[in-house]
Amino acid sequence: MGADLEEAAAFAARNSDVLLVLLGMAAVTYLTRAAGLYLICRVSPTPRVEAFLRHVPASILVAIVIPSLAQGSLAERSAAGITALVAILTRNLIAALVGGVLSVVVLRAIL
Amino acid sequence: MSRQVHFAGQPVIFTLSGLRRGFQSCLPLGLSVFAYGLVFGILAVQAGMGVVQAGAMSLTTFAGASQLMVLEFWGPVLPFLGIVLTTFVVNLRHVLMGAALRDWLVGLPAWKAYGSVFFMTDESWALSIQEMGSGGRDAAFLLGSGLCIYLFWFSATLLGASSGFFLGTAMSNPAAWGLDFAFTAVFISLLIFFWKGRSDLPVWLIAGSFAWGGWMVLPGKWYILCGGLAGGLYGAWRHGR
Repeated sequence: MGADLEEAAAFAARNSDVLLVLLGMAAVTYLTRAAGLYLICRVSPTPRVEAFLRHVPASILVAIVIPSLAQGSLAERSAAGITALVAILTRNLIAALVGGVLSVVVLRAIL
Repeated sequence: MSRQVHFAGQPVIFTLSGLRRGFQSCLPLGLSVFAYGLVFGILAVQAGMGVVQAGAMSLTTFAGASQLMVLEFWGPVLPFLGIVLTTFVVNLRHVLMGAALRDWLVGLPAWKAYGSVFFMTDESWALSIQEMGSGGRDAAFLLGSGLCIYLFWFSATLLGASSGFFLGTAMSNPAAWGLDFAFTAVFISLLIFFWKGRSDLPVWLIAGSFAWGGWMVLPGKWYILCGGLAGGLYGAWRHGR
C-alpha cells in the first residue's frame, strides 16, 4: 500500500512538473508572437521605422532559405534554381512548390 | 487600437471568406507540416513524453522548431529554466514577424489581432505577408492560414505519438519524399514574388550575409533574426540618407 502511494505521489509530481514546463513554453512562445504587435501599436512609426518594417519581410525570407542553400547538396541547389525559374515563369506558388519538390526528388535520385 | 486604419485606401476587414482563403492557401503546405508533425510525435514519445503531453505541447506552444529542440532536454529531470529559455530564444523571430504585419493588425479590434497572432507560424506569416503586400485587406487571412497549419501540426503530433513505431519507417523521413524541400520551395517562390527591382538587391545581399554568418556561429534560429534585422536596418539607414 505504501509503495502504491509513493508511486502515485511520484506520478503526480512528474505530471505537475510537465504541466509547469508546458505552461512556461506556451507563455513565452505567445509572448514572442504578441510582442511585435504590442510594440508596433504603441510607437507611431517614423518614416525610418516604416522603411525598416518594409524591408523586414523579404529579409526574413532570405534568411530562412540561407541554411538550406548553404548546406544543401547540388541536388537541392539545382532544385532551388528550378523552383525560382518556375516561380518567375508562372507567378504561381503551387506550381513552383510542386516543381521544386518533384525536381528535388528526381535530382537526389540521379545526382 | 481599434481606430479605423485604412489600408491601400480602404479599411482593413476581417471576414469568413478571408479566413477560408487563408486556410486554403496553406493547404499545399499541409502535407509537409503533417510529415514534420509525425516526426515530432515519434521523437517526443521516444524522448519519454506521453501522447497527451506531446499533443498538449503542439496545441499550446505550436512552434515546431522549438518543440523539437526541447526534446533534447526531456528526461527524468526537467530543467524548467533551460527549456523555457530555449523556447523563448528560438521563437524570438516572431517579434519581428508580428511587427511586420502592422498594416493589417493595427486595424483590428485587439482581441482579433491578439487572437490571430497566436496561430502565426513561419509558413502562414510568409503567405500572409505576400497577401498583404499584394493589396489584400482581409486580415482574417492570417488566422485562416495559421489554423490550417495548426490542424495539421496537432493531428500529426497525435498520430505520430500514438502510432509512432508503426508509422515510423513509412513517413518519418520527410526527406525521402522531398517534403523537407517544400518549405524551401515556398520561401524561394515568395521571395521571387517579393522582388520589386534592382534596389532590393543590396538589402537581400546584406540580409543573406548576416543570416549566413549567424547560421555559422549561432545556435538555433538566431540566423533568421540576424538576417531580418540586418536587412531591415540597412533599408532604414538607406532611407534616411
